[in-house]
Amino acid sequence: MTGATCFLPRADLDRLFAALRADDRTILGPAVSDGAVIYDEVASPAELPTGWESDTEPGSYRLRETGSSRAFDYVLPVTSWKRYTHPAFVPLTRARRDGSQVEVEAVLDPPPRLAFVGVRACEIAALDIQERAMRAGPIGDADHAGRRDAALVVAMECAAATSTCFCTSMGTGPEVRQGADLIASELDEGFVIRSGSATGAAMLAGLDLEPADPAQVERAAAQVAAVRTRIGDPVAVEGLPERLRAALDSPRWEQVAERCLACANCTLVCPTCFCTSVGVASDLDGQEATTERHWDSCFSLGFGRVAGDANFRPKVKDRYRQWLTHKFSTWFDQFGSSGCVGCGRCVAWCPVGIDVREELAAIAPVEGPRGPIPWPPAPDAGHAPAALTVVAPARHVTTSVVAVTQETADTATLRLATSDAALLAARPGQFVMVELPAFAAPPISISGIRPDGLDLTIRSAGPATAAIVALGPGAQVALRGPLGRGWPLESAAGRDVVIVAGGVGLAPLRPVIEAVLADRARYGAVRLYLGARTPGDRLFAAEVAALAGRSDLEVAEIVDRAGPEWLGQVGIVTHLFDHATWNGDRVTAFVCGPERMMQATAAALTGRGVDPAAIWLTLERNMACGVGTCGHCQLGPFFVCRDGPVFSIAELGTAFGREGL
Amino acid sequence: MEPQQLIMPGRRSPRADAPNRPRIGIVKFASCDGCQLTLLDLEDELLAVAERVDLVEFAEATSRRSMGPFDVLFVEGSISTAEQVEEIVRLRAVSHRLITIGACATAGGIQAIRNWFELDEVRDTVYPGPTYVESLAQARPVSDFVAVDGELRGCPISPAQLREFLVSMVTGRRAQLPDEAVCLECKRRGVVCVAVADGIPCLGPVTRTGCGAICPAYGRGCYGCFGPRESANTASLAKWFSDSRSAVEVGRLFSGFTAWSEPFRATIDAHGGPPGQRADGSEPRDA
Amino acid sequence: MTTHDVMALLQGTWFAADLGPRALGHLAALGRFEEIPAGTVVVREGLRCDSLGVVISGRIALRLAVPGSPDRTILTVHDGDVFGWSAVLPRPVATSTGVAVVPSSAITFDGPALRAGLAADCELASALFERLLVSVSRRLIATRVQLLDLYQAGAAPW
Repeated sequence: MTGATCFLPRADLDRLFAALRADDRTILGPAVSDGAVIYDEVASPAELPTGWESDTEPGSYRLRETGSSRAFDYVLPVTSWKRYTHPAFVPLTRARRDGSQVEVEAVLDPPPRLAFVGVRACEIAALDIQERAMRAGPIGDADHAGRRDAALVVAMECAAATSTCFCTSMGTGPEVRQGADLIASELDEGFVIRSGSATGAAMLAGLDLEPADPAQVERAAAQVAAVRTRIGDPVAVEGLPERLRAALDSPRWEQVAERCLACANCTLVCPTCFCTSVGVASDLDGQEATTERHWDSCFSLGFGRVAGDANFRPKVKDRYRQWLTHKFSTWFDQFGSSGCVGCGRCVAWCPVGIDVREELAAIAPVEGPRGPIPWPPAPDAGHAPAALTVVAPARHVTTSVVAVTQETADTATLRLATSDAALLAARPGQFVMVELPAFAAPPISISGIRPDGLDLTIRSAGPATAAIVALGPGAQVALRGPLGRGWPLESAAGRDVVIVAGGVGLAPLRPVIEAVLADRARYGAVRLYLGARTPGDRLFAAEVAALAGRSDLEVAEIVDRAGPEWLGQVGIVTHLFDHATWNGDRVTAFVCGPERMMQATAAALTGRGVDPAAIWLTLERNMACGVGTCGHCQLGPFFVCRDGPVFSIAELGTAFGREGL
Repeated sequence: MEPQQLIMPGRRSPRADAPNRPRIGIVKFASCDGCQLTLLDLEDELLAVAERVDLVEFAEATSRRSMGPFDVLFVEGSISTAEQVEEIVRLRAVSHRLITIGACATAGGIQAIRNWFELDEVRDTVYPGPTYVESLAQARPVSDFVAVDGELRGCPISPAQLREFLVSMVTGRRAQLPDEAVCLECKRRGVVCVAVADGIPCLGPVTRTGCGAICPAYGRGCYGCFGPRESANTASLAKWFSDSRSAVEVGRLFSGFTAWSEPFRATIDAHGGPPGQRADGSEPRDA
Repeated sequence: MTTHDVMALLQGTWFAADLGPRALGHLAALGRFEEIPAGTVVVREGLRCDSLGVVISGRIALRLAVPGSPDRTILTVHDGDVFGWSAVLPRPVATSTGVAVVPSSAITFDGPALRAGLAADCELASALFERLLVSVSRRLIATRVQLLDLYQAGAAPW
């Protein structure tokens, strides 16, 4: 595809622009605005930043007018191309609620046909890295993929560098080798240009250019070589992921947190950071509503917020650690590469000049330790970077409430009818996003899988869940799912099954109990240990009583506190089995409850001799997208929504229960 | 708009008689009325809002008056006099939910700058005949006196946030009022960072978002009118400012509409207090 | 019931399962088997605690009096676990009320006799106190977890 290198005289640059426009593309490129170079719509070459160069330092960016005739010596704009491939605001759904009727539909606008002019080597790498992140889950992000596919990339090799550049260390530049439709280098008199794709080749052929003089090609090569020399090799990347893994307790996190403003600028200027949150807008009555996702950041407190007003990253040091270890370490686990391309934007645009290169050297020194790795390698090859998954718009299925059972004072089970094949094929342990127009959509574990619908057991813990449990028979609600990896029931075949549930944690385990009883002969002894706050907080009390009457499984219940009328057991759930006499070797355990209860249970089970690889639990996180693209539910190398929510203790390693992860 | 137009007797919409319309009041203390006027900025939806709530007390738009009770009471202004203390305590008792609106009510407002000075000095400086000025020694936020159920920040508050709050009230959903930094809004909007690109001191990194990043969008530094965000690291930002500014100048940067809010207040203290000459002509102490 | 029978019952519990034969023999000699009908108060909060019991079967609820409301059960004790452990203290005052909520049985030890026995037999004392400590620490851990009130409904972010 790479044809001969041609020469495009500077005066003919507008011919390239005309060709791009003739291809029905809006041209985006560098332009000077408000004292900086930004990417913007560029109508003609006259709007390019001709004669501007930039100087950057940590926390500082200054444009300098040089009077030169060159247009691409500004190095890097503040904005990255993600503004166009992963925009700051993307509409997700349109929803209507009319009486009991609910309809939610995905919004997927056709991608604009864009031409990116002046794309740097580091930015090409960033486009690829972000695309991989957005297409690594079970369902690739349709909006991102559409935008990426519809963009034509005109690369411009760097002829200048600033003090914040470190592409050389990250292996992304400054030379452009692939990933662009056209690859150009700027010389004083014009551009040497070659194609990097069939589209680019056709466009270049249409321009009918003279071949470049070998001396011009040589000068272009010398230019970029000089840039490489100028940048040097400021970051020691060898073993960096492993060094960072060993540095989770470095005192430096605390020190950098004293300077860090947690303002999120680094993540928003980063060309690969992809985290988003969902906003809801509606009319005054909540009858017509839309949702959109917007850029968010692991540096904001709200990003780590979960149920119970808890927060997984309350401290700035937790948030800085999340960002840095994700970018340079767990990104490898998730997507097979570094998340950093060395563009240096996070260094220049940090309002207090924190230099990631300096922090890396201090936190994970080259001579520093490289182990022990706090969590094992990613659980399966599902996260391998090679394949980009098929993209599809999200499916929002309207279901009808058939019956509502009040389980406890604040928890109800909704029986929903649906004929949607995907929902009916849900596996125990999977969850759905429950959508009621105008409300945020909570992730809810499936508590029953029927031939004609699903059960959802929901605790009224906030406005959205309160509105959902208040629905009566006949009302509708939309579901997106099923999502996540469920309980590995097959791994328990031929073994004893222990099920430990605390409080509402019984809900996601109910399908396990049903599946095990439906195929009872497949398993050895089955033991059910249930904890609750008080006798009145026991879930599915009638069903549990029926189970207790069966001879083919053992059921024990315990509550935290009770009045004298309760003749059952009182204490914590581990008391039900910590002195039991069964043999832990043969046990596969399924556990769900509050995280602290699961820790205690896992410890007690391990104490009874159960293999950590056979102790499975389901984690609660602030899941929003459900397919690993919004970033909310990250835990070390895992996306809880995509890689879990069911994990084994062995998979999680010390990431489980670790403060601030 | 004439006051009568908002709620017109005899021309009430069908919804106006709905039994469960929340009774809303809007009252003010020491403030400029700008925040309550934001309600009138909702223009397109104003009538729709008026149909869904029973606005029983809103001096800027209607002559109806109420002593309560209120389902939701919006309170503007700081508490600056002894009468206001009595009144806010009374209002709290008759309000199911009390929501403070604006920098004055939530943080003390610009008038809280006087909290750093002797009241007599300030009074003599400002008023030619201060005999009739009755005031507490400090202008303080409402939450210093009574429990507050929610707040809308800003000077003035944002119409979008007010709308969001009203929608959340009517629909029963959680209001989306982020506590993150202004920086996120700048970056989402594509505003070039005035601090990094121009060296303009900007409080955006330590200030709560909600304004839509208006000032940076017009090439000015944020002056913190929405008050401190969560985890506001003012110490680090002040240290960065201090590299090229005197302590007095750094203190002045934080001495805006929400100066009395922590940690802005402590940062001002650490840099010698807010600006302004003392009545006796002395400069504020330098750090 | 003979000392041998008591020994066999004790040996079947986690509490005494791995006691050495000599200590087990000594302990069994001090204990006697008791049937405890449902509703029997085996120890009463605030009063002198006369005996230590190791539950053989059934369930003993440990309750605290809460002024103005019914007693609250804070823990139930099952086979192998102990009640009345205050009996080994110099000032044997019960910290909760123990009630058999179902027909139960236990090996019980008279407090003063047990204390005298322990004072005379260091090996038994060391083994018994170790097991009491395990039992008490298990209760302490449970209390801490219960204090966290893990199952209490917290607000959700949606």
